[in-house]
Amino acid sequence: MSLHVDLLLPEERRVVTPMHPKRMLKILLGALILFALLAGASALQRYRVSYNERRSAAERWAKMEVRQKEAAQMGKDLAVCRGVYGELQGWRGTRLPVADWLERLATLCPPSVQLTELRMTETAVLGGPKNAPCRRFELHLAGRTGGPQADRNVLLLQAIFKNQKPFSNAVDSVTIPEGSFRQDPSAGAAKSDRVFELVIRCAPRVF
Amino acid sequence: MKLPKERKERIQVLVLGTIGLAALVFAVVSLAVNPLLARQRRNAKKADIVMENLAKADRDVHSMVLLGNEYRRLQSELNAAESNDLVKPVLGSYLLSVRDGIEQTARRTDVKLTGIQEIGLQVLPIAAGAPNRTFRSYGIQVIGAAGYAQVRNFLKALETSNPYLSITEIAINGRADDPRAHGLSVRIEWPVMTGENIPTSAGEVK
Repeated sequence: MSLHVDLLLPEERRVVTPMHPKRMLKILLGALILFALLAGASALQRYRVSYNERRSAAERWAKMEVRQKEAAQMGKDLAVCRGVYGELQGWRGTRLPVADWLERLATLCPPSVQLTELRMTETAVLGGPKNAPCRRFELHLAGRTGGPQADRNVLLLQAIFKNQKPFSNAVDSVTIPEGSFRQDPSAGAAKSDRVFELVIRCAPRVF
Repeated sequence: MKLPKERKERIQVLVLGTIGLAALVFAVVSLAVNPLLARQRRNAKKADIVMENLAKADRDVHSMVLLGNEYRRLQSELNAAESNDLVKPVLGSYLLSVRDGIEQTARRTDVKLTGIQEIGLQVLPIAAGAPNRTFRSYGIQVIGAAGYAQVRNFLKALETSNPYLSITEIAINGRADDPRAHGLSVRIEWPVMTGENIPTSAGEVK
């Protein structure tokens, strides 16, 4: 017969293992409290840092906002200035250097050609690239020439506008209107004398 | 604190304590940590927005400093043009302000003027959607007689006197009675301001 005697009460029993549930529970509770404290402290710290950053940014912005407004105003004024300046430069850029043209024409015109009329007209229209406002100049020349080379003289004058600067840079077309090259109708003109007309159309000069 | 002796009661106390502690941690996290973190996120977001605005403002200010030179140059050129080259009315008459100059130039270049007629103000065409023009065209018709060289000198002097003046029409006709003096008709146009002034009060960016 065996006899079992308990000398210890159940609550008096000791467990030698370090993984005692009570100890584990204490550690767990301690860790939980520590975690809560750390989380709170970390959140507080992060909040303080972000608050300071925000305040410092707001202070910088308060100073910068005034300068940005000044810059924006200057930007607007600059845009207006550019517009006005561009428009004014359009006046300079679209004008035809008439005096230079007259001078070159006098120099280059064949001696056997006598100009009797020079007429230049201008129309300000929407045209050119992107339908922009532009000036269109047209030059009408009338003159007389004579001799067996009369037609060549007129062609020579036509070629001047096509090939010689400053005309060639600005001219779109040079035409002799149909029927304009004909016998000189004036009294006293020789049989070989001819009158002619030239129409010189310039390329649109965009404002 | 001493735990109860009874095992059952002890477990109950521990469980209750754990639940209480968990509730406390939960309360701390939800009432203090989370709101703090939410405010921190809001602050960070606001700070980011402000920093972005600051960066943009900084770029604007920096570029405006660079463009300041262009602004000053344009303004100075426009002011010079306004005082020297743009036609301004004398007691409401543009003709009065240009007539003397034309007559003087004609005398200097030996062109005989027989008439100066006012064409008046004209509006140049505007492309669709473009802003209103700052300038209108003021034109006059000059009629006279001169030799070809004199006409050339007259026009040259006019063109040199004002870079914005434009000779838009010209007619030179040979005259049978005097081959050396051609009939002359010239149309001259100037830009004139129509209202809006050149901006002068832009803030100086330091």
